[in-house]
Amino acid sequence: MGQIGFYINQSICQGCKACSVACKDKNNTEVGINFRRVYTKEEGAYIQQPNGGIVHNVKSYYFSIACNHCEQPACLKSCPTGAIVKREEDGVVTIDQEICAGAQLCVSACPYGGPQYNNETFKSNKCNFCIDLQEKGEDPVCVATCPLGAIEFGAIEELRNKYGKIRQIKGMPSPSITKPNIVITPHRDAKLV
Amino acid sequence: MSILVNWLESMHKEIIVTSKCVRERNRKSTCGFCLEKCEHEAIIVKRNTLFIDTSKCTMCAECIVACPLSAIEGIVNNRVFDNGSLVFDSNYVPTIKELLIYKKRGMTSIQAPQPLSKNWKTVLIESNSQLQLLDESPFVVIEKVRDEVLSRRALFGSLQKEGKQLAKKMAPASWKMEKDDWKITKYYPYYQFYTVRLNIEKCTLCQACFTLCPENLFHIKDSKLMIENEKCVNCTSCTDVCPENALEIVPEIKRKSEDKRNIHQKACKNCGHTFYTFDVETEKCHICMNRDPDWLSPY
Repeated sequence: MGQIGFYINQSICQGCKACSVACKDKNNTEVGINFRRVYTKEEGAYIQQPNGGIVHNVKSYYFSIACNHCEQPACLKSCPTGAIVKREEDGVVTIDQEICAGAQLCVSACPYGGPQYNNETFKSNKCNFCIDLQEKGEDPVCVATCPLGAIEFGAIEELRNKYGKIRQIKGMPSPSITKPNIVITPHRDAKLV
Repeated sequence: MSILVNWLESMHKEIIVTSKCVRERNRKSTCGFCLEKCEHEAIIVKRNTLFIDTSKCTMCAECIVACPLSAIEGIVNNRVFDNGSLVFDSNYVPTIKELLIYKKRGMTSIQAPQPLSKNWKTVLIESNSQLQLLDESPFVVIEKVRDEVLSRRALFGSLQKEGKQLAKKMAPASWKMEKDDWKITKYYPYYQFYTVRLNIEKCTLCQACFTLCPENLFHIKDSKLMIENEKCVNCTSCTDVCPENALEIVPEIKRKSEDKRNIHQKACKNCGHTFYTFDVETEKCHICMNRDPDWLSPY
């Protein structure tokens, strides 16, 4: 199959966070641990015009992100125990819970905030692309849940052919760090100029 | 018939690497005491975990003795004892750790023809100097245990003893193995063999060593970081995992001493999570400290 990745149609995301909640439900994660997160970005203000009128240049948008199963995962390189592996068949990056020692170096290494630390089990974990569901022929739970159909997944090459090559929007770190396998259709206010 | 066969089978046991091996817990572990000792290249490294190649293994049991964590299971049966005396054998050289363990199991001397072979002598001298540090009497070299003329009482006594030894030899292999048999710290609970030196200039208190140390040396209690040096067996788990290279294991035999250091609990200015620090001035936790503030937050 080759490397797989997510496609996020950010231009239609309404910020309902159903993807995040579904992910929590599926992975049964504690409060504060979110393998998929929805970020809210706001900028701009209301401006008093010289003629007395008030106009605004407020821009806001939501952005859903999990793990990008990167080409050069920073987490994998940082892991002191070798618990993080990138699967050969589909490039999915997983953390072996048996081996993870909870050093949290992956948490500080990932520019996207993917790995999440559980301070009760003393281990970090992250999105595993719902490989268990995929093996059964089902979609990852965030993809299946999104009421707007804004999240898709598949072979990254196919997604890039279909939706373009954008993998960075405003407020996102440079893709040169880890080469993320993600394709985004940005919100009109989130496009990088 | 089958009972006898089962019995005979039970007396033999292949040497295996158990899950206590540090390489099971750390895929980047550099511990390799058994690899160094094995002269037959019978220990295979696969994805950094260890397996024993039974076709090459000669059951010499050197690896069992060498493992600091006693993580290799099997019977060491080429060591011969006679009345608390280890009988010299040119086929192997005991290790210092091994002799120190035999000391606590009741060994007092080495039975060998004079002069003692060079390799054995070096080990003996070093063991004796370590025994001195442990406040134990040194081993002596003797020619042979004298065959005494036995009195009636002693004869029955010796029969009983030999009977016991025979029973021990005939027992299934699994009965003969005890947990942590080759862990030196089990035998000298009031002494420490290693000191774990912590460089507080480098340490970020990420606590990776806390979870990885199989002997649970590291603790945080009442705003103090404690290192129980007497538990250290030099498995190198902590030095392997430390991202800051802040730890060093130094061989040093002395009465046990606990290393206590004052630490402070604070809330991170950036993420709000509580964290520990040596320096009361520190404002950010070790995760936020190493992250670019422009990156997406994991919280």
